[in-house]
Amino acid sequence: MTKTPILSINNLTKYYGKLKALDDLSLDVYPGEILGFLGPNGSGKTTTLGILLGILEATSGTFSWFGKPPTPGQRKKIGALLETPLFYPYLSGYDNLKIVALIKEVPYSEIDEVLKIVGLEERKDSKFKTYSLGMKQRLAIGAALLGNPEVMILDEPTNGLDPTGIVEIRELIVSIAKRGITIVLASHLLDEVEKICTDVVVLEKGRKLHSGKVSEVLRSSEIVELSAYDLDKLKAALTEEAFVSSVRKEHDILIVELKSHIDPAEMNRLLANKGIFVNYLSARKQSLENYFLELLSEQNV
Amino acid sequence: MFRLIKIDFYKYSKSRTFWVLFITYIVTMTASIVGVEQFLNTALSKAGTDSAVPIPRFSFYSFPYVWHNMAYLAGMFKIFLALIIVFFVSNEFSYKTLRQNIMNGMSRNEFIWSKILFVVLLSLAATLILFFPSLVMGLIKTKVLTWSVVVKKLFFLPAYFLELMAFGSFALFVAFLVRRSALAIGLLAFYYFVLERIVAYKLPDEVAAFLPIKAMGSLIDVPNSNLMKLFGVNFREYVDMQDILVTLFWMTVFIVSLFYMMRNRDI
Repeated sequence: MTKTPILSINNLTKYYGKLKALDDLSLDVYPGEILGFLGPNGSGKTTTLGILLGILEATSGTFSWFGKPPTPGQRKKIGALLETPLFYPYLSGYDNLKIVALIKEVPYSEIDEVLKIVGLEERKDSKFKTYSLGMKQRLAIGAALLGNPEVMILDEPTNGLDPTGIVEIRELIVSIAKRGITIVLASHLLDEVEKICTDVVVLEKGRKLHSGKVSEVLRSSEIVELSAYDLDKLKAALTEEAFVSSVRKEHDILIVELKSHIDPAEMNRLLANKGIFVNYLSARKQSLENYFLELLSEQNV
Repeated sequence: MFRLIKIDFYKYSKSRTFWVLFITYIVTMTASIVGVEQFLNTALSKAGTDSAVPIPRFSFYSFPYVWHNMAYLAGMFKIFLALIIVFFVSNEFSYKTLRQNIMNGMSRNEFIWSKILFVVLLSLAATLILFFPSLVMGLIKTKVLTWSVVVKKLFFLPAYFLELMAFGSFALFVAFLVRRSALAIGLLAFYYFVLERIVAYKLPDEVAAFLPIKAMGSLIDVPNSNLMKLFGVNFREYVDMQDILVTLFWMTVFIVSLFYMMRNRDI
């Protein structure tokens, strides 16, 4: 059974003058997915989202929403928060949402519902310029929820928030996802992405490095953390072993990716036989963060 | 179309800046219309006592001349309306609210139309602001009131509307081109007060008549008055077809270029 992608990107390329921001990017997003859109700063995430939302023009390539060529009207069914919340500072939260509702052709009655979902009911009549950053982000998410969107695009929704704010937004996103809305979440908070997202795409320098299911990434390899007094000797010894896929140094420990499962005790014995005694050994599952950093460091070799 | 008017209405109706500027405009216009005759007469009577030639007193408000006189006077304030337009439109760029409007589902063309409609409504309002006080002053000060004398030169009102619409579309053009409010306001003022005047001065009159601002300003020429007749100067008492066509031409150019500017740009 083939499903139609809700979003399909085909060979998208974008130049800013001579700078190639996007390099032949292709990607499909299926309904119901929660896609983590990852990449270092300058990798082309915001450029891609800008093109999809009609504010930037691609140099070449195409994309489609809901299986059809892009039109402005489609965006009434897409909720978007790109980089920063953009509203009229002298208008209240409610009045700002009124303008969004008029543009999306959505009845005003939805405004109160949406304000309740994001927890801004009490401050709805205060001017936007009086809002804290967290409130501004929440208003933006509220605006994105108007019109029962089928897709939401959230670019760094927790940008600049304190830890409490980050948790609040995360819970909000999870509850939105539960309604079956497809979400594209661009974020630097990899552990958040690991918790929330079903799929992940990694960009670097405008190219797609990887795309796939989060669960597969997490299952893809086992990680063992090791440390010894002589780290270089430890690293050399490990690199010799066949079961080791890669070794990466982080501060004063080594992070080792295994090709196949090895019992930690067995590893300990092997190293002791070589005269290396570890002072720290911890087996853990692959994390998105580790996978991401590995992927990027491979590229930079 | 009503949706676009509604959207812009909600954008501005709660802006204190907008109301301060707009109410200032209304008050200034009304005060000028009502007070101009008295002002000029007082100013000139002081001069008149010294001169050998008796300077006749002005009577601006008699029908049918009141329409011409007041429309000419009102035309001097159009720069104020243009500044309102430039300020609010370029703010949509600098605050990036335009960006959010587009992301929310407004097409670029719809955005442009909403601003054009804003200029139309503003010009209509300004024309009414010209109409009512002038009508009242005319009714008070005209000695012989007949229906024909009231409506005889009423064509200056649509000419005034055209002048405002054209100047407003020039303001839109500058705002969309430059996108930053301070720069846009500065450029508008510079072009209006300085640049075109210098160019017009250097060109022969027949050619200068084709410049945008000159044509718009010439729609309503300096009204004649008894004072001018004394000096043997005779300005036009009608609206010239060439000026109308040139003004329409420039207005079309400015508006069409808005659509062209927004077509494939990054916002």
